[in-house]
Amino acid sequence: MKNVLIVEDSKAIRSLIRIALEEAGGFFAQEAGNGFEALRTLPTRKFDLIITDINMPDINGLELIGFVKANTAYQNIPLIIVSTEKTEQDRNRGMALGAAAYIVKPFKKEDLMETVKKALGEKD
Amino acid sequence: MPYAGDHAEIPVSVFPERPGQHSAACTHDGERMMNGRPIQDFLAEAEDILETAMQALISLEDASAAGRQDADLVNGLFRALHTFKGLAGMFGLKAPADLAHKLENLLDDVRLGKVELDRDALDALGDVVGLLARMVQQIGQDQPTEDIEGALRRIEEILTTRRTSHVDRGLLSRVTIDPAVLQVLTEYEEHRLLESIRDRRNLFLVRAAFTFAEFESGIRMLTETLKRQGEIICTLPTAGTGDGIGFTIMLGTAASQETVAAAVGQPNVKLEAIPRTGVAEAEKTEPRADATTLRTVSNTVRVDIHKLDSLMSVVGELHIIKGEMGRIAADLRGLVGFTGSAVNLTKAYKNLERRLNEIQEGILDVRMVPIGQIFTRLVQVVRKYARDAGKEIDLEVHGEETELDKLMVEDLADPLMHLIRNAIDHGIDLPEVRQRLGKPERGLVRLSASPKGNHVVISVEDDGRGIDPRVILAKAKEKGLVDADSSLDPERDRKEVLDLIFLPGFTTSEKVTEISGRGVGMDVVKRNVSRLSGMIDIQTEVGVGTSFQLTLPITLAIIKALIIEAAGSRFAVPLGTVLEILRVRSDQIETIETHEVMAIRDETVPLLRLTDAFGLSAEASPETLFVVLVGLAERRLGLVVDRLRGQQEIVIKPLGKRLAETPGIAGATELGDKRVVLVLDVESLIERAMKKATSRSQ
Repeated sequence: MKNVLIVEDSKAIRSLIRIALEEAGGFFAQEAGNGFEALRTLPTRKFDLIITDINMPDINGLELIGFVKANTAYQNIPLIIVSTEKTEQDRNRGMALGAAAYIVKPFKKEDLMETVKKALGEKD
Repeated sequence: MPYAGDHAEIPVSVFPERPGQHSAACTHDGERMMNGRPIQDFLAEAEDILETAMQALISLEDASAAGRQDADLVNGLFRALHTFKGLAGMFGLKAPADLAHKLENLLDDVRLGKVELDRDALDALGDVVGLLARMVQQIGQDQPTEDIEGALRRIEEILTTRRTSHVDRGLLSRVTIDPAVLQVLTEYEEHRLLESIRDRRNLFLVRAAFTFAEFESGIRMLTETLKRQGEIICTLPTAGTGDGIGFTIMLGTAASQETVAAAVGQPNVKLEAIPRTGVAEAEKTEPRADATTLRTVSNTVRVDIHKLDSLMSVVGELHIIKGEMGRIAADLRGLVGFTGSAVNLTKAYKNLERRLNEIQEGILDVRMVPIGQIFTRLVQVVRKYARDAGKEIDLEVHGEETELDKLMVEDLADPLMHLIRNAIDHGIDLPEVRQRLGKPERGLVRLSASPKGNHVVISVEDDGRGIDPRVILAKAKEKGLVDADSSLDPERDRKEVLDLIFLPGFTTSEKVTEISGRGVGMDVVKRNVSRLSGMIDIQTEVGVGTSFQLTLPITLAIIKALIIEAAGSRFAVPLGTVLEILRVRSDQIETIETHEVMAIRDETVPLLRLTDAFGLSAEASPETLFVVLVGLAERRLGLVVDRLRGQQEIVIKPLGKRLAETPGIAGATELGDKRVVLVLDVESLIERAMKKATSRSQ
């Protein structure tokens, strides 16, 4: 069972991702609606993967990635950026900060699962 | 493929769809589904987002009208549309997603300073957000959605015609910022930083450390504080020590380091100025003045209250015209019956009445301000006064949110100040005396307000020595305000005796004080309150304390009045003071010691004939009369009149100087038939009746 933290301020999109993971099987997904909630949730469980949106209030996805990568307790957790084609520059920055992969909204369930596998270093 | 099996038929995906139609709606256990997910999930969030967007847009229009730019609002609007687009896309709703996408592009360029929004562009944005809201409704009702082509073209036009040059990234070389901070900035945050550099604002890194348990409330409070100083460019979480978590906030502001440090004032927060490089230092000038206003978002306008007065006056005149129209309609109905034009005119009259009431309520609402406005002023002055008088006083304030007409609030400041000053001077004893009496050393003065129907009750209470009616009576006799052999009894006639303090000449030791600026007695307080159609009541107990209660109507601008007639003369009685109307036979009126009274349920109420009150020659006393029972606070009076002439909205106009002091008359008003009638001052009429009763009982 892989533990996944989903950080996304849209409740509906968050649940779509969670349900997709649960339906695929083998995942336990926890949701966070903003950056602060993510910071609070991070120490509560050993996460295997973080899926994060970039445009969020308070602290954004890039700042969260920066925090994770600078923190010895979390720096090995792979991150997936959920972005849009509009935010290319931000996405590139996120990749430069050490994110494992990105996915562009709107995405299909297949794309999501493929990206998840890729981030977890698994082969198809 | 990564997944298969049971759930394969519910993909999270976007299906291509035909324009104006949304895909894959099906019913599943009575719930409408979209791409396998309940459409309700989409509708709920979409409506919330568009509501937020609409509010941001309105605030932006206000800001723009006031000549301000507000980066935060634009970014909020961008984020709303960005989220909406993602949401609609994930639910396979192509048309709304496409439209939101286009809007998002535009707003992204606006927030990055590439496009400027003017009035027309804001109007267009409002229309497009409105269209999105309608589309969400149409999806909710399972109808085809509207065409978006026109809206797309409008946005494209703004995108192409309102381009501006945006800020040069080269500006970054003017400051020395930790690369670890720079690399996590989003494009937008970087743009805000560049604007701050361009506008020569001071830049600070604010570093704060919190325990893990408290970081969220801590950072939110700090953020609020900093937002009042300037613009927060970014907030970076950093690993804290031990159990803690740290944050680095970048702040752009016109304020100096000292000002920001003083505003923050917390030991766990450190402030560090971001240095400018040499070149920039040389050309350093004052920060741009608009920097400080960037964050001020207000939807309010200041209006001179006299403009509202004249609007209200117009409304009053419209009411008169409405009255005429009502009469014409009634005449016409009498002439032709309830048909044709008579029906239409009556309908139009009713409509006019409804709308007029709406306007009037709107204007009244605008005039209302929380009474807290003067409470705050009072508290400041009173604290100082108590200190100067050597008294230890706690001033408690309740009900600051109670609303009252702005003009009345202003007129109340002096009387309230006087009552509080009295409480401090004569009510509350010196600390050592209180201690001897077993009371807390600090005296308590409580100022409170609460709404009561169309009235507001304001009370000034203290826990001081109370007022002794025996002392009051003795003092009144000494001053010759009451005959030395008066039969007034401090116990039996407690109320009348206490009311003696409101007589002119009762208060003597009035010094000119800093608070009122001049010596005023309780008689002036009472006159001021009466002028506002209010009334004062005293409740007091020796050794326990005193409470003055002011009962006031919430507005004087326009009131509903009952039109009454006595001996052929018409008068208006403010409806707010009318408790009930009784039709009585003359034999129901009793006379006790030449004074007319009437039993209303279990209460004996004094009566006053208007013909007597104003010296009108009475008609031959008719068989049936009307008694208009009026009351303020706990007092009651029955006004005996010949006829009732209906209810009407009136605007009270002051009487000329010659008549201004006429007792029992508050002012005059004009009725629809061009007739001027006098408005009764119920408070002073009750007063007169009470005095009469007292003198007769002696």
